[in-house]
Amino acid sequence: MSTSPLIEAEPTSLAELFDADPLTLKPTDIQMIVAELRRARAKWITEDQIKQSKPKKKEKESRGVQLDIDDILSSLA
Amino acid sequence: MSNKNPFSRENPLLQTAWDSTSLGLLKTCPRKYQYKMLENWSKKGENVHLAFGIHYHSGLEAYDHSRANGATHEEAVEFAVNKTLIAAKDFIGTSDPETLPDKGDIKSKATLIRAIVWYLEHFRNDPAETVILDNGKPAVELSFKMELPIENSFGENIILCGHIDRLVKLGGLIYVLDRKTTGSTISSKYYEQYNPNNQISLYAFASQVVLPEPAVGVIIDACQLAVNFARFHRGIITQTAKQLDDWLNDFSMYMQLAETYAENNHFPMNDTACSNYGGCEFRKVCAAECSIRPLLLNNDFEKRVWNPLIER
Repeated sequence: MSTSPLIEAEPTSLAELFDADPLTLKPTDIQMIVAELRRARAKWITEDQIKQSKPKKKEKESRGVQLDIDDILSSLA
Repeated sequence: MSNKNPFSRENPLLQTAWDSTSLGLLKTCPRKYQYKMLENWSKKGENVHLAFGIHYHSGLEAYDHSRANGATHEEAVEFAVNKTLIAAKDFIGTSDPETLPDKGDIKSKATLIRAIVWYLEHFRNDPAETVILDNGKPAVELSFKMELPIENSFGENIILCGHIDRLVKLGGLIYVLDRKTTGSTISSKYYEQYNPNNQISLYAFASQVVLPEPAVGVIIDACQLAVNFARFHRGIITQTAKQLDDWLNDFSMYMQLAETYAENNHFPMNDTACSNYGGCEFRKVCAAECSIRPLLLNNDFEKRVWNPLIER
């Protein structure tokens, strides 16, 4: 018995769904739009939290260069 | 109140039905009011921003209606997205290069749908619940008209009109909820512009009169729109009864001013407001020699009527 290979259809992109005639969209298309946008939101929230938690560059620069005592002693040697 | 003419029968330059948009224009600059409300000029391309705002509000309204009709959150989100995609079928959006250089499409169909979905995710477990009116309908997109005990010299009563996005109950208290979009970062400073504020005071005042249960304040759900994200924040503005009395007293005096301008067929420029909010759209017109102003208006503007009496 021959088996036909599974041909995985290329998933429809979000842009294609937005460009399509909305009257032709299926409930599964709408669900996909919502799911994709939620995924994008979750990704953005993670990235934004990382960005917010990083110390600001200006604060780091204003602390100036901090010398270690060994640095000072070695420069005197 | 079936008459849809917001102007006096006796003087077509004298407005009798006012909303926060037209009142705000008069307060900012009578000349700007004249151009926008009396001559119906709007900057070309402004339509896109108006359309985006309308679709954003309509999408969220669709969600509110759907939930009030018993739909689950998921069903209501999908309904809102579907309805918005259909309603915004021909919405092209703009990258608006003049105001957002190299920033891409902030107002497009994609960012519109994203703003709606992300808003509904952000407020998924919203403690503010939509009020259900006595007629069983959810209190969303409520248009109101109220006749005030303020008359012009022709004996015509002044009418105050408006459009409330949503009425909610939060912590047992009623609030007007208004949704706004902005390109700016939302901070506590953002909310300072709403107190005092013409529109917020009008809503707060009207809610004392037209609603079965007066609202104690106005909740503002602000959406910061950017190319790659939409960020949300909620603020609450409250005003005392005395503040609202003050507002009404001021409103009455502005009506007298409007009548003076209309009687004289002259609406003076407020040349201290020309630089507000990035510059008035009519600045070049007002800066030009009087004789060429009509040419500038015809070239750079288009006609769009704003009627406070038309329900959205």
